[in-house]
Amino acid sequence: MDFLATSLLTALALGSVLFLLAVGLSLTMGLMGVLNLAHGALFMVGAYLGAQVAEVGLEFWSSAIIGGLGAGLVGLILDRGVLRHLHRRFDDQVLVTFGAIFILTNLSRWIWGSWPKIGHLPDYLAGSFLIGDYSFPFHRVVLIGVGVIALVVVLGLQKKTQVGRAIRAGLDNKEMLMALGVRYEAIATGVFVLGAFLAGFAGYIASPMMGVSLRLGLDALLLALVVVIVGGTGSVAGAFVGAMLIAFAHTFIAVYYQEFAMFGVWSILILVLLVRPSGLVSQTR
Amino acid sequence: MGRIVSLTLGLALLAMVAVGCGDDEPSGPVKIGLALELSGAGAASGPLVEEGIRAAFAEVNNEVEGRELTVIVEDTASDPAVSLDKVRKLVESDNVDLILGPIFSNAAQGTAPYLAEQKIPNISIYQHPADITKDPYIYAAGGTLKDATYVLGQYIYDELGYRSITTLGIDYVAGWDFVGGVVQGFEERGGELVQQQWHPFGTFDFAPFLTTLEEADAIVVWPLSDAAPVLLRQLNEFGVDLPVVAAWAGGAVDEALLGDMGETAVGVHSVSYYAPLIDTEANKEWLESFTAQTGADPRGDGHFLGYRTGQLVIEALKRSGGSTDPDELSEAIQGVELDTPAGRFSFDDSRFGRQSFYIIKVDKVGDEYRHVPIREIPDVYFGF
Repeated sequence: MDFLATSLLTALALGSVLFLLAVGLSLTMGLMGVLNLAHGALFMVGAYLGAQVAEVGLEFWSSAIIGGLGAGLVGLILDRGVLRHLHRRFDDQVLVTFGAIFILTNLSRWIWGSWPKIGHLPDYLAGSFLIGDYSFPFHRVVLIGVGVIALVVVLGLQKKTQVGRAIRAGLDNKEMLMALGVRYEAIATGVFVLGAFLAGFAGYIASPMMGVSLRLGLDALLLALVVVIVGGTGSVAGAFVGAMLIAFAHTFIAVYYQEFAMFGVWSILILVLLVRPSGLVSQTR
Repeated sequence: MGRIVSLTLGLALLAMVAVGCGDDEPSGPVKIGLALELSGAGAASGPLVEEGIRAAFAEVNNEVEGRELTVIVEDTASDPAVSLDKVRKLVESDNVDLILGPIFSNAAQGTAPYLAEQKIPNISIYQHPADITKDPYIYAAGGTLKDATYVLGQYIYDELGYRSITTLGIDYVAGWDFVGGVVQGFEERGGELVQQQWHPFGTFDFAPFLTTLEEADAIVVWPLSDAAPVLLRQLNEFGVDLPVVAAWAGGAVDEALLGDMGETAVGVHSVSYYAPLIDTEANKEWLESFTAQTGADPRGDGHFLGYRTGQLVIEALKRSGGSTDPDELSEAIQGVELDTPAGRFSFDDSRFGRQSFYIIKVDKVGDEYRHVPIREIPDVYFGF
């Protein structure tokens, strides 16, 4: 029973991280029809930048915010500098953003070296608590909390604000929206940058669980893509459902059949593509 | 007209012959290809090895037997496919006479047969599986993966008194053999292996493995450098209070990474080729001259092993009289014997290296975390 509890908490923590990582990607794909393969690299940049400022003594949450801002800045450059010129050129977007992964990974290597880094935890987050016979790190429970807050905030933005309404409208009919005078390009960029910020922020707060290494660029991307495809693009709820489903599959399979964890994840992806290709929480198109 | 044509043809033929012979001339440079893990999971070691090799060559002014030593470096990215590509490039485009590396065993398993086929002598740096020398021209200077860890397995039974162990290793040949060597040495003494777990490449969240851990006297791990700090912290977080044994120091408790790991690594026992804290005159002298030359302050065994590999190459070339003919050079490599700051080195007939290994313990020395050498075990080669 306690063992189930620790696995449940681990799955929820991983799901929160995946949600923060994937929500930006999901909205960008749905809203702008842009596939940004460098999204995982933004997660990595946030992790490295956050770890760097933490090393010189900055507090945990501030470091995470700096990591997010750095990732957001990179996202801004990517969107305004590159992607806006590739409107509807899907193949080129894939190539360019894929190349961006290597540029960002090698820049990180140039700045921070090939050594992995370790996330620094403040004392109030570093402890563990007992669940029956099992010890569970407190920090992971905090991750769950962050995930819930993020979900509430982003959903609130989407449902209750003008901008949120514009985004939802834009997902259905971009041209009409622009004809009504809404500054669609600005909103799209804003969504992109927000998504980048969340990914970078997630990269740092998840670092005690996922490490800070050059591998994150690709590893995070694979997970983000699976979550977005399974959950459905263009949807905050979809990103959340997808993230939790993948996190649970990965965690619970890993416990019993460690080698099959990723196999399980990919199997879910294939199943969803076969049965409901627009994703579990899809907008009807 | 006819005479001009034949004269031109003759000159052209002569020129071609001269150019074709040029590479075989023993006064041209010796081209040494380094296939090293400069990025990816092995990036903790590659750059240090390169620095060590270059330092050894610089000491002889990059020249042996009248021939210049030219080093060409390629990054294997810690990937077997990339390693083979880069080695091919070094052989086919750069025309190297000798290849050093790669470090990773899964990469070497691919490059060794290719190099044997191409007749390019290959000196490896770190350990490899016991069957790597089934191909000719490969000199596995680092020994087999199980050699060092076997003696660690015996040590933890004899000296630390453990009677049962649970293991958690990375799921590829180096993980299997490093951990396997410890298990073999341990079981042969009468110890019990309670549980074995293997985690895939790229695992950063060890929760599934740590929550299913069974009771034992100690846990033996080997995760590769980039996951090591996270694993050690998570052992703490999940309340695993078993003593930790790192099957092999490099890739688990690399001395250069101890700063990041801090207290979580203190008390871990392991085994290594070398530790800068080895307390002999020979070692202190070597460290002084190495630091003076390169500005580097060695941590772990990367610099030392690179330097030793460089020395190996120099000695081999001296023995072969500067010849880089594959068979002559190979024979010369086989016969090399070195007195190093970490003990004596020579090649066994099996083309594996025979050398000392050091049992080390991670501890705080002053305000730094270091490998403290506890015991030297000389002349190690078992071949399994």
